[in-house]
Parts: sequence; C-alpha cells; structure tokens
Amino acid sequence: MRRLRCILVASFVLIVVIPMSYFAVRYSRRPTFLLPEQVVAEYRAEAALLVLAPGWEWPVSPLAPVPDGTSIMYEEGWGKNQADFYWFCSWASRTVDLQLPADARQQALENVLSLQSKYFFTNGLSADSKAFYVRMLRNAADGDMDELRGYYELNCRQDT
Amino acid sequence: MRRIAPRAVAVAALSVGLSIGISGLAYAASYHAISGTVYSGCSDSGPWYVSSTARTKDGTGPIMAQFSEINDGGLTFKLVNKFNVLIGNQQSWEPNETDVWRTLSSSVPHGTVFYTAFRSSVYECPDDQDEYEFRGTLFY
Repeated sequence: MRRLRCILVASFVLIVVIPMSYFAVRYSRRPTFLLPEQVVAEYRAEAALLVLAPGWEWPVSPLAPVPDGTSIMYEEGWGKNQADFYWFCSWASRTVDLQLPADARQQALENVLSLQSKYFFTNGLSADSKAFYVRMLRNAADGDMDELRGYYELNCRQDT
Repeated sequence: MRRIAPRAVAVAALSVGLSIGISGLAYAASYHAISGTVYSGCSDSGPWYVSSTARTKDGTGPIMAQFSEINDGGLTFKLVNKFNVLIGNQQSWEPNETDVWRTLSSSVPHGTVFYTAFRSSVYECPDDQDEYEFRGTLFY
C-alpha cells in the first residue's frame, strides 16, 4: 500500500508538478506587450496623479507618429514613464528659469526633487542610470543648476 | 608663516588628482547587460517592441551593442528617444552573429535619455520559431 502511494506521488510530481513549474517559470519571464491604446490608458492614469507646472497641459497622447509607418508594441510601464517624464520636464523648466521669482523657482525645485518618489525613478529607470539623477538632483538642491539645465535642454525641449 | 613640506604638497596634489579622476569616472560610459524578447504575436501592432526601461547616456560618445544569444529570426535593434525618434542607426544581427559589436550611434550627448527598441528581423504571423529571447551587452 505504501509503495503504491509512493508511486502515485512520484507520478503526480513527474506528470503535473514539474511541467507546471517549468511553464510557470518560462512564461512568467515573458514581458507584457501593450497595444498603443493600452499605453495611452496607462499614461492617462499616471497623469491623473500628477500636477503639472503652471502653463503646462497634458498632451492627449504620449505616442508620437512612427516615421516609417510601422506599428509598435510597448512594454508595460512605458506610458507611466512618459507621464512622469513630462511632469518632470514641466517643473524642471521653471526650476532653471531665471526670469521667475525666487519663490516660484523654489516651489518648482521641490517638485523636481520629488522625482525620486515617482514611477519613472523607482521602476522605469535602469538601475545604473539612477546615480545620474541622484547627482543631478543633489546638485540642484545645492543651487547648482547646470546639469539640470543641460538635461532639460537635451531631453525636454520638444515638449515646450 | 608656517612652511609647507614638499611631501604634503605632493600628497595634496595627488588627492586633487584622484578626486578629479574619480569624478571623471562618474561620467564615463560602461558596459551593461541587457536581455529581451522580440514580439511574436499576431495583433495589428508590431513587430517593433519598445522597452519601458529608460536609460541615460553616461559621458558623451558612442552607444554600441553585442549579443551572446540571439533569437531565431535574427535581431534588429535600435535606440529611440522619448519621442520615439531614432537615435543613430538601427542595426541587425543574424542568429549566428554572436559577440559581434555594432555601433548604434557614434556620438550621443551625456545625459541623453533613451529606450531600446527591437524586433525579429524575420517576422511572420503566425510563426513557429523556438527562441524569441536575446541577451547581450550595451555600452553607453
């Protein structure tokens, strides 16, 4: 009787448990492919949590026309990244704008410094790129805006 | 006035030099492991697939890639900015072209934010390839 039970358990492991584990591991590593409309929904949900700097408005869609006309799938999180990035650009633009009063620039800086709590920084950014942002934000907090200004000019200008 | 010993001056100079060297290293490009899965579905979208991992160029210079494992259909790979605009040129690797370095862009400014985008060079719907994943190294 005990031998029969052992055979049944071993068979169950071989036929059910091992194949299920294999496919669970294999397919859990597969990325999530989002359609453009799903990306837009993701972007809008993230945007709803954020307040843009004065004078800025959310683009209806984060998707730019594709030059060669081919369509694109997106990894989950791309839409959130776009919303956070646009939000960051809006506040960075005011932080480095010397025409604004000091209190307006200070308010903008406080928003800029909160980037580290946003999805873009916590999930969307490659681990090796975080040091760049930490340094740039630390310098900005210390009053050195050179790197933030350069970053804004390089990465945000098409939004303005 | 107290005289400063030559040895102290040398140590101070060395310290300054080391500091400059270390801060310079912070702006130097380096090698990063990458991996991905090309899109193999049959929707109206695809076959390009854009990663959601934002990367930032460290130090002005080239961005290059090589792959140790390549998906069955061959890999076409490119860099795009946040506006989905191509940075440099897209490059393709045949399945047997492992460990071949190719330059995706010869000069990218320090601080540039970019994403990787990729597709199977041979994309059919439906297809019956076995391997859709790739692994490699990105220098940026």
